[in-house]
Amino acid sequence: MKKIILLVEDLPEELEKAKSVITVAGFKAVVAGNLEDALRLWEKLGSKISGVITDLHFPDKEDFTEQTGQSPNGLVVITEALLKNTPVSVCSNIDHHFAAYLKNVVGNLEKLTGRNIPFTMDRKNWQLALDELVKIIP
Amino acid sequence: MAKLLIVSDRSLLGQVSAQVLRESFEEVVEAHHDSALEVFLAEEPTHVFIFEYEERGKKGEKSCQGIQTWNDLKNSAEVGQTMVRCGFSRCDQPDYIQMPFRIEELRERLGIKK
Repeated sequence: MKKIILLVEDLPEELEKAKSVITVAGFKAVVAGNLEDALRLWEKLGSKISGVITDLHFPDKEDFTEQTGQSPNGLVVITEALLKNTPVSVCSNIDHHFAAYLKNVVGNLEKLTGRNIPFTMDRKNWQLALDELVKIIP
Repeated sequence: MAKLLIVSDRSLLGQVSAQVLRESFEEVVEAHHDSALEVFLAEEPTHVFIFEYEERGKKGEKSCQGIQTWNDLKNSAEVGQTMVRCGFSRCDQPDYIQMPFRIEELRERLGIKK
């Protein structure tokens, strides 16, 4: 069975691009567009998930509002990945005004945990995010 | 190889559908909604038939399990995997079939001849 990657991204057009990159590379993509779905799918599939690629800003739940859409829920996903000992790669957009700040937060998480958390901040470069993730998947 | 995954929490529905469609597929597997995503990822079916797709659950909750299953599987599906959803409600979508239906209608939705 192909390895499964959990992909968390709320924008449909980005999601399709990311899914294509993942499947072409020979992985299965399981997709969540919000934090609630991401955590639900993770609980359902557990250790079958080999790695995670996550955006930084996406809604808490399916019901999108401007406020929840701006939440840095990617940090929750990253923390979950650290707790579950699952490799995680972050894919964000350099244009986002919070991305640089959050990169520092993730950098501090790396220092605290001693774990490598790739952070791609190159206009949603999913290929790069996947390449970095593959390097840390056992 | 044509492989069908039937998702239903009502085992009778699943079994009857499997019986009727068995001759059109080389393999037929069944799953409940809870395990549908796992089975879908492991079995890599060419076709999926999802029961209990309703706009609202029995108690009026906004989303019932069929919708969640369809979303999860649709999001994880790759090009070439055909999915058909089914329920008692009305839903004008080409991949939806309303109960009760004729088996010919279902075959048409699934894109199979026999």
